Amino acid sequence: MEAAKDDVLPIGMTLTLNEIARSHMKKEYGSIKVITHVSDVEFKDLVDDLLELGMQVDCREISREDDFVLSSCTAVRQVRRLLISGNFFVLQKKPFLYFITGERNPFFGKILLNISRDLYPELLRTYVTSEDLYGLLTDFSKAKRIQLRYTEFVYKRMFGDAFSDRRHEKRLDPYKHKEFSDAFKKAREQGGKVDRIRVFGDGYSFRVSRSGILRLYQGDFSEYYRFFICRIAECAASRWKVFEKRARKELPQKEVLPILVNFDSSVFEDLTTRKQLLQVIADYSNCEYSIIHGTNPHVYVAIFDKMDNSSFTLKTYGTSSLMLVPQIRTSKASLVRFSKHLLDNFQEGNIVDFKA
Amino acid sequence: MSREIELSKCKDERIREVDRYYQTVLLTIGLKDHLDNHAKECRFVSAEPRFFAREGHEIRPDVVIQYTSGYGALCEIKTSLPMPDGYLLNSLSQIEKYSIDVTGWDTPDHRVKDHDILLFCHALDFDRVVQRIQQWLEDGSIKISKKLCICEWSTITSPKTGKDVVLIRKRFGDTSCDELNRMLQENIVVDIQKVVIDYEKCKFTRKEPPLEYTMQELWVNVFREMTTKTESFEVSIDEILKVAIDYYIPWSNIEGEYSQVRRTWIRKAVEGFCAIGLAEQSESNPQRFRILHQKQIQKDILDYMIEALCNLTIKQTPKRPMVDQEATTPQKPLSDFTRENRADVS
Repeated sequence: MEAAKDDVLPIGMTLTLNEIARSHMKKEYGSIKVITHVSDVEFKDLVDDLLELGMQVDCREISREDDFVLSSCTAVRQVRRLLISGNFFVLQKKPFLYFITGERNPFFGKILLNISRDLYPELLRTYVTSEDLYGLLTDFSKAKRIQLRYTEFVYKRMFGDAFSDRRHEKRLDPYKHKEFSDAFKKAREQGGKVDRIRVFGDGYSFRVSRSGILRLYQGDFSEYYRFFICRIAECAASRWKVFEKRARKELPQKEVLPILVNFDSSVFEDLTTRKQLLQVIADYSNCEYSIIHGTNPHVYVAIFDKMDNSSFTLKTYGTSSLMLVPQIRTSKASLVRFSKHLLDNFQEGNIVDFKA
Repeated sequence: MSREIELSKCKDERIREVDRYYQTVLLTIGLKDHLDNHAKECRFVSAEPRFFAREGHEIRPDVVIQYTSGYGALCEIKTSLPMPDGYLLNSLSQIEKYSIDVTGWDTPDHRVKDHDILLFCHALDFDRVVQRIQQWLEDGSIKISKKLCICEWSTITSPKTGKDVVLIRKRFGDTSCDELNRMLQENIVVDIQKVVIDYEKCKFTRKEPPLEYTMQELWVNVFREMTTKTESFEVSIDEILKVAIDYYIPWSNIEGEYSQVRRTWIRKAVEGFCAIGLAEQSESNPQRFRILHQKQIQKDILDYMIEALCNLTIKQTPKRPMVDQEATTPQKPLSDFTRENRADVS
């Protein structure tokens, strides 16, 4: 995999964004953070929706080059008695949309991530797999001839947060830092997947994560964009193609077109895992569900996504797969949202079209 | 019995009924799939047939099979059968009605030379049911003039392959089709994975589903077609039926076949929604109903519906008065339920 030439930032925008990034990175503990999304809607058209949610966002376009649009935005929101405000930039090249900011918490956590969540389904935050992260780091390392070493990583085993077995590894002695591949190996040995990792090498220091949140502490922003930001978005968008046009009402013969989520191991062999899957569904936000058949020998659950009036059914398929079956109205966004929930709270799986 | 125990018992029973109905649909699809792909001397004709006895009475088998020999079989699938003998006998009386010559077969004159009766019982009920049937056949409580074959069915994980399967096997009697006998003797094993897509299109069989099964299917799936946003909306029974007919395709294209979902089932489901506060009748037009979207509703919607309906049932059941043991009406003898004494047996 090589960084796509099409996704090099235009020259004017490179200078602007590099300058913005540098100004934040030179501060003590400063960094530039990016949240990656897929969206077909102009961000300025979504801003009004945020007012209803108690958030005031004002945006001003500052640059337009080729297909790229860069806007500078401010956001203000009252959280209890505290008025939180901050600046961020929106870089949009359809179908991708990035929030870029140097602000720290609480602005990042209470405002920016909330905007990202509240604008669903128009705005879909991307996610990638652990293998994707490994591929991106390898490509960057090879292309730049930089030996990347890690300072910390987080891995998740099955059941994400709910039944987490996280390892937070932080080495203070710089001579003991190991290559990033070692972190992936360690995670694998523990039966987990790298969720996020911070690496450094030859003037670069940055973090990449499966959940589409990236952070550059040191280095050239435009190169970071080229090798990581845009490619993570592209990766997610191409993987999500499998979710498109699945609703029965959109198909001429009202066909049923299921999707399979394949896991590495025979997770459903164990009855306990099937029961825990039901708990993962119970923890899914903004949904209603019906457990038609629970645990023995398989699980069959109907899920109604209240966020966009979609529904689908879920069935354990064999011992190592889950089948998502779109129903009459099933949006791409709802399948993306649920598959992200599985990644965060159950296990990372490979999503493919089901061939009967 | 305390209210909590009564509620818990009611919920367990209804949850089991919904689950068993789902499994019954899988069984029907599985049987169809197996016969379509492996049988030469018999074929799956329909799961929604219309059959009539001589007097013009309609009879309602769950599945119809026809043999190349010119014979056929009317099949009755029992999802779950009651424990008390009286109720059990009553619920098995249906197979007696199949014991006469009927029209409606997929032949030019809609008749066959003769037919068998196939009864499918869930594995958990099987031993008890077969024991009773044998006894009732002997003492004349049940009279059947056709060949009776009883099979047990269940959904299990195959110990051989590790796959989830529907298992059907013959445990009592024979049919007139040697091939079908052999298949049932050797166990019909249908990989559920092969039939899941069909299930999504055929979620209802000929048998009326438990109320909560229809309600949840309408709530989670059919109603999504009728509104673009997650909000309250108004609808009529016929509008719901139209969507249901569009998406739940008939089992086969035989003339006279019903569509999968019946108007009465939908009407009952909407009444169920009204009873538990998830819908209300329109004030301006009593033919229309407002389906209410409630933000704070429990996430496990099936559990919510079942609990609400159970609560209603418990409330409506009058409490038994405390009476002296002597004053109690003596229990009805079993013979009260037998053929001679039942008016509903033709």
